[in-house]
Amino acid sequence: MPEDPEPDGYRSPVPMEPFDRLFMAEYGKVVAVANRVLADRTEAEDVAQEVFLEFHRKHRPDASYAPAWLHRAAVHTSLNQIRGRKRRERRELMDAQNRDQAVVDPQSVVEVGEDRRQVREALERLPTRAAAVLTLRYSGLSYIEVGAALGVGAGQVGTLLRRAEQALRKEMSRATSF
Amino acid sequence: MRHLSDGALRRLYDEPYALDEETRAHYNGCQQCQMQFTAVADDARQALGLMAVPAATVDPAGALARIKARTRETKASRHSSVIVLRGSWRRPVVGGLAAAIVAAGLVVTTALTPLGANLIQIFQPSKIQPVSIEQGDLTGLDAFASWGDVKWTRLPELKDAGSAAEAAQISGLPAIRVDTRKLPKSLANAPVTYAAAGQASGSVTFNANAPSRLQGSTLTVVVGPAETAVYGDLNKLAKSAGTSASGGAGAEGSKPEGSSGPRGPAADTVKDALAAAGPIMAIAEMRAPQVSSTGASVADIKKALLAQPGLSPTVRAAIQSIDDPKGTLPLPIPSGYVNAQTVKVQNVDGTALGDNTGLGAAVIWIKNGRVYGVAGTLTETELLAVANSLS
Repeated sequence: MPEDPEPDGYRSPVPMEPFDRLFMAEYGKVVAVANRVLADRTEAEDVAQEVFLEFHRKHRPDASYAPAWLHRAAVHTSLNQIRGRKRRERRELMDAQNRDQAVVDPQSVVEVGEDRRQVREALERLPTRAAAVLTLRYSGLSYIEVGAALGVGAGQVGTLLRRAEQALRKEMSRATSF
Repeated sequence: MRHLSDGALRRLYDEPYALDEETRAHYNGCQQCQMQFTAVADDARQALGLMAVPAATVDPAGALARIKARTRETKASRHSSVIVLRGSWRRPVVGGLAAAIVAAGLVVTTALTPLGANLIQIFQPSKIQPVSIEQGDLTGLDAFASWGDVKWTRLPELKDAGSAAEAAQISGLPAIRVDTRKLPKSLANAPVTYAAAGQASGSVTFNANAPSRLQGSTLTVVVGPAETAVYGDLNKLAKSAGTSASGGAGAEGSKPEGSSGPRGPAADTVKDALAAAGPIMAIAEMRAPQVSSTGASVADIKKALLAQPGLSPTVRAAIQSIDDPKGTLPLPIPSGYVNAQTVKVQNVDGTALGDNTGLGAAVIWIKNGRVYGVAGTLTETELLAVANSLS
C-alpha cells in the first residue's frame, strides 16, 4: 500500500504510526468539512476530534476506507449538530466579527452573518445526501473522494451535486422571498 | 452522441479532464450543451458563494496530541502503568522500545503525557532517576489528566540537515560528534541522517477540575532546541515497519486490549520488522526542558498531586523527589517492560534502559544543561561505548 503523503510543514524523524499518519493526512480535510457546515472553527475541530476518536475505537487506521469513513462521519456529525439544536443568531454575528478579517464594515458584518445563517438553515432543510454532497465538494474534496464518502461512483457525483445546487438555490430563494 | 447530462456538465465545470475525449469533443461542437453548461456553471458559482465560510486554519500536530491525551484518559483506568511511556500508543508490546526511544528524545514524552506536561517539566532537570512503575501505580493520577489541556504555543519543527555541523548550526547546540572507532561494526558504514529542531513551547492552564489553589495558573514549558543523528537505513525501517504495522494491527484487534505480553506474537512481528531493517541507532541532544509558572509553585502542584487518593508508595516517592534541589527528573519505567539501571556516562550518572523484549536499549543522561540520549537496536554495552565516545 503506498505511503500517504505527509502534509507540508510536518516532517517526522521516524515512520509515523498508521493512525498518526492517517490523522496528519486527513485532519485538515475533516475540519474543513465540519467547518463548511458549522462555519465555526472551534466547533469544527470538536467534531473532528469526535470523529477521529470514534474511528480509532472501531476501525483499523490502515483500513482502505478510512478517509471516506472520516469524511462521511464529519459531514453527518456536523449536519446532526446544526439540526439538533437551534444555533443562535448572535453567535453567527460574533463569528463574522471575530474571524472574517476582510469584513470591516459593520453593515457588511451583519449581512455576512445573516447570509451564513440562512445557508445553514437551508442545509438543515435539504435532504441529507444533498447537504452532504454540497459540503464535501465545497470543502475541497475531489469527485472521487466525494463519491467514496457517499458510497457512489465518481460519475454520479456531478449529478448529485447539480441537483443539490439547484435545491440549495431554491431553498435560498424561498428564504429570502419571505 | 447524446448530449451531456447535467451531471457530466457539472463535472466538466470542476474537473474538465475527468471526462473522456469523446465527451469533450462533443461538448466543443455542441451549442446546446454549451448553453446548458452556462446555466450549470451559474448555479455552481452561486452555490460556491453561498457555501463560502472563513477558512479554518488548523494545527494537526497539536490536535493529534490532544486526541492522544483523550485516548489516554479513556484508557487510564485500565492500563495506567504503561501509559506514560507508551510511545506506540496502541501496541503495549512496543512499550519497551518506545520507552527507550522516547526517553532518549524526551521532547515527545514530556509534551504529550499529562504527567510530563504538568509535573516533570516543572523545573530544569540536571539528573535523571529511573522509577520503576508497576501496573496500577498511577491509578491515583487518573484525575490529573482532566486538570488542563496541553496547548502548543510554538510547534517543534524538525528540519533535515546535511551534516552534523549543519544540524548544529540550526539548533545552536554543539555538533554531535561520534568517535567512529567506537561504532559497532554493523553500523560502521551505515548512512547517517541528521536533523535539528528549534525551540518549542507548550502551556497548560489549570481548569475548574483542578484543585482550587492551582486553578487559573498557567505552566509554560520550553523544550529544545534539539538535534539528532540517526545511523542506519531509515528507508528500510520505514518499509519493514509499515509491513509489520499492517500485520500487527490485525493481530491486536483479534484479542482483548492489554493481553499482549512482551513475548507475544506482536512482539515477534515488531522484532522481525526491526531485524529486517538492520541496526538503527539514534543519538539525540536537547537543551533540558524549562518550566515557568504564572502562579502555582512546585510545592502547590506537588501538594495537590499527593492529595490524590490511590497513589502507590513508588509514585508518592517520585512526586516528593521532584523539588529535590539537585533537580532530579524521575523517569517512569514500566516494570516488566524495561530494565533500568544507573550507569556512568561522560563522567556523570546516567540511566541505561534495556528492553526485556530484546528490541533495543538506550542510554540517557544530562550534562551541562543538555539532555543526551543514545538509543537503538543494539546492546546496552554497544550504546554505552558510543555514548562515551561523544565529544
